[in-house]
Amino acid sequence: MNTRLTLTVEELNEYVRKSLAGDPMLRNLFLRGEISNFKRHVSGHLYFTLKDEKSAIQCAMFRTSAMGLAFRPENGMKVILRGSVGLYVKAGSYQFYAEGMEEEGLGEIHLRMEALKKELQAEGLFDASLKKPLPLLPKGIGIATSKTGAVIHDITRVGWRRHPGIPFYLVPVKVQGEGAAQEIARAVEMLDRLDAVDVIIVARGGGSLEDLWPFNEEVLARAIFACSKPVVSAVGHETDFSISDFAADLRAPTPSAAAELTVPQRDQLLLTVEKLHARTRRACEMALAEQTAVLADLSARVARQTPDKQLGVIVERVQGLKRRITLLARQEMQRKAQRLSELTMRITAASPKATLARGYAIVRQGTKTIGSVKLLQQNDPFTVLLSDGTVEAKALRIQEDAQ
Amino acid sequence: MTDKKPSFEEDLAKLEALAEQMEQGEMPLEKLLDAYEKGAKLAKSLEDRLKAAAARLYEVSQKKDGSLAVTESGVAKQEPLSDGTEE
Repeated sequence: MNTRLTLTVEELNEYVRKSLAGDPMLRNLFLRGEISNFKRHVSGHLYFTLKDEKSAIQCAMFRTSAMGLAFRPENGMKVILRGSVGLYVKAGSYQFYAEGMEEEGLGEIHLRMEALKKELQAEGLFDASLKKPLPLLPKGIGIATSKTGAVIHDITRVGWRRHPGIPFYLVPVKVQGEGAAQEIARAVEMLDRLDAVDVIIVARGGGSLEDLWPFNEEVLARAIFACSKPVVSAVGHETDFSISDFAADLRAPTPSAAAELTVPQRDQLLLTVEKLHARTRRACEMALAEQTAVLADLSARVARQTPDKQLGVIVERVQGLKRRITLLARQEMQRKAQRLSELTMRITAASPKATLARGYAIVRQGTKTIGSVKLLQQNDPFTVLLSDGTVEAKALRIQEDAQ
Repeated sequence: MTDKKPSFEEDLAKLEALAEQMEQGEMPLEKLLDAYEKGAKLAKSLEDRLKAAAARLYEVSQKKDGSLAVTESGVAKQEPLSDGTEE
């Protein structure tokens, strides 16, 4: 009898696969190593070997997991994988199925970033009370970003759509890699000196933490803080926060949003101005309507032939107002002014006639009605209005009544 | 370039304050007309500042002596507004 257990290859592989799959130690673990033999299959799956000094293991990362990576893995890169150990039944080889991948050293970077953040915060670089307000209508917007790439286009396109009269001033800079932070810092300093600019945007599109690193460097944070003009940071995507974001006066989630925050909608501002202007006009119109009613009342009194000592004064005032009003360019005002001038004419021309016929006179100098001897000086010419005409006269001697 | 020229928001705030003051109904007509004229000037100045023509993109560089050079850039230009403005 054959008591030996003989398996097919498939049966063995299947058995080992199940054993591996059943071992909790081999599920959802983290694996550290360096990538080699990296291949990206047309299907989108990634295949590579993860190795350290002494050992190596085949790895696979399926498309659905690979799509979520924030960086492009490549040979030589030191990474930490998260995944499970499994057996590829067809080849009888065991491998690591990666579901997540991080660049190694990231933890260290995060630590450095946190330390710097704490230091700058303690120094007051992020103080809310020191944030400068943005101008409502900037005369010019400075931008420190790359000359190539979508960012400069996004900002100008959105900005000009809101207000086509806003000029942009670009200082082209390297936004990643060695020396980028220094370049951007210098750009901020240059734009701070440029008179035509009164708000500055520091921007770059999304990227890996490594790409965005310049925006986490101290030199840039200090340059932003030192800038006398308000600085808006627009770095990466909505979820990435950089040190620059904290040092800036305002953080925009994206470069396009930075344009929206700095450029006002022209039509909206025009409407605001127009509305305020209309309010001042209405206030005048209401007051004029009131005054018109007073005049109508007055003219009625004059029509009843009451010689009114105040008449000259009032006529003078009305005429003064009339002159002023006609100076005002607005049509409505002119319409109102005309109504006033009509009323004025009715008072000055029609109503005193009956009074004048009884021997009263109106004394005028130019358009000014003279109601007191104090308004005349010796040899001053003046006009005397009588019921049927005028007399040009001259003040020969002036004597004021004793009090 | 003088720094003394009030900013857009300063003038806008002035116009707003003026409108509010005029609406109180306590100003004599003379003062009211003065205020109106002042307001009209402010509104005109504000509108003028808003109606600047289409602007450009400039590139700023630093010369050897440290001074700044500003030149027009061809990187991005304003395009005439199409009807189907995308958001």
